[in-house]
Amino acid sequence: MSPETHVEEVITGFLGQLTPLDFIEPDTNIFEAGIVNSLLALQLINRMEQHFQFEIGEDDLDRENFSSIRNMTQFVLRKVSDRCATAV
Amino acid sequence: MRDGRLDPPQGAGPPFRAFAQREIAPFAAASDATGNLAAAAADALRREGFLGAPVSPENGGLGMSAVDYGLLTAEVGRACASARTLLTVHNLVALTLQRWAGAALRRTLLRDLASGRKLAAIALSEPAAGSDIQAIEATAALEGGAYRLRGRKAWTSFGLTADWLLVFAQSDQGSVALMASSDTPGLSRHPITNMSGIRGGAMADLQFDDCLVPRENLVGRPGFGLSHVAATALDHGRYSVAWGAVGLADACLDTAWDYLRGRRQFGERMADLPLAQAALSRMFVDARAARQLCLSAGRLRDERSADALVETLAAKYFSAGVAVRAANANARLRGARGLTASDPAQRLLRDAKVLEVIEGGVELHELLIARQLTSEMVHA
Repeated sequence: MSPETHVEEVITGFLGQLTPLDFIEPDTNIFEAGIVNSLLALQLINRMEQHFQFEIGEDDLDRENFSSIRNMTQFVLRKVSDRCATAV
Repeated sequence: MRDGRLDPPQGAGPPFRAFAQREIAPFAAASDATGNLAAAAADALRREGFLGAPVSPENGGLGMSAVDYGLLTAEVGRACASARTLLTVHNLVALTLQRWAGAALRRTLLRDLASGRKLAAIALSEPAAGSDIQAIEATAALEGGAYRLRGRKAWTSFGLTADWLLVFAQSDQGSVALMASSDTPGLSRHPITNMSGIRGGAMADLQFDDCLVPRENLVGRPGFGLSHVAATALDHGRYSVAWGAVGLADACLDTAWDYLRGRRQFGERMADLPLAQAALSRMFVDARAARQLCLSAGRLRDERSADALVETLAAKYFSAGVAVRAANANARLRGARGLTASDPAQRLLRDAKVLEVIEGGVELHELLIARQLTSEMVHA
């Protein structure tokens, strides 16, 4: 399984736990679809931080980063890549 | 109880209790009567560094764990709900800056708050937007290097005295959170003097008439003011209020116990009468259960667990109810004395009622907790 597929599965799992929906398309804009409230928004961030072991800060607050499963996956991959680059 | 016989293990609780009983409790009745938190109580919190208790050392705070900060909050809440309110609103703003402010604001303003040199309050509610925070109508229009802030904010605890206000508004890029200095031209503060509880909380309505707030004072990014910044602030507020409610329930136990062991009826100490003992037992077990929920929320927060948000909601919801039940029982046990305006039981009762409203009312908590349950049960 590629890292991208793995991350996408994890994030899909988060949304599965946090919403009553059975399935969300990877490209569905979760803000426009009315899926996200403020509690869910923070829960998603906390789950990402806890699972992938990075911190989300002011610089990361870009709507695009969190607007869909696909975009969150790319965001996580970038954050993990940044962390690896910093560690090296 | 004050003599410690029934107290559960509390880690850092006892030193905090000694501090709060010595430095805060003596001013509680006066703060309630005058409608202003005694300066000596605020000074004591500042002197001990408690106005930055949970803020990390690199930002100038004490770096207390969530659990220790909770234990501190409970003891301050046990001593005086108005002083606890200052601790709550000031630290919730500081912690929100720590999470979402840029490096420059953290270096300057956050350090001022963490030291207690400057005090902060949160300006979120409006006359037409309480639980429904998405409905706020205040506006912030970016004009060059500043946001032009217009609107009215309601029910701001310590709004009358805070040096800095974390203000939420709508902009053409979505909601924003701004740190506005209280001396910004165009800001007028109107005291609310007829609060029934937490009367020392310097409650105010705030009017922002074309206040210019530097763009650098933006917290988070435009579009995230409500969904992330306000949500973070409310989460910290709920955690603190939950512990304050535990402290208030403990204060009710203290007051009830002192009274029942000193008064004789039917030829016995009231504390030995079975019905009084039953009431004390209910209060004690309730308070202990609330404390355990708060400890659970605190531990999850210290672990940075994703489950901390919902556990905090549950802790605040339950603890506020416990505080009201304990305050009711305490006032009732004291008979006619408990109905007099100057009796400590009346202050505790009035203060307890406030806890069921602030940082989200009972029904809002039920709604949010039920939503979470629904999601979990669908996939169970």
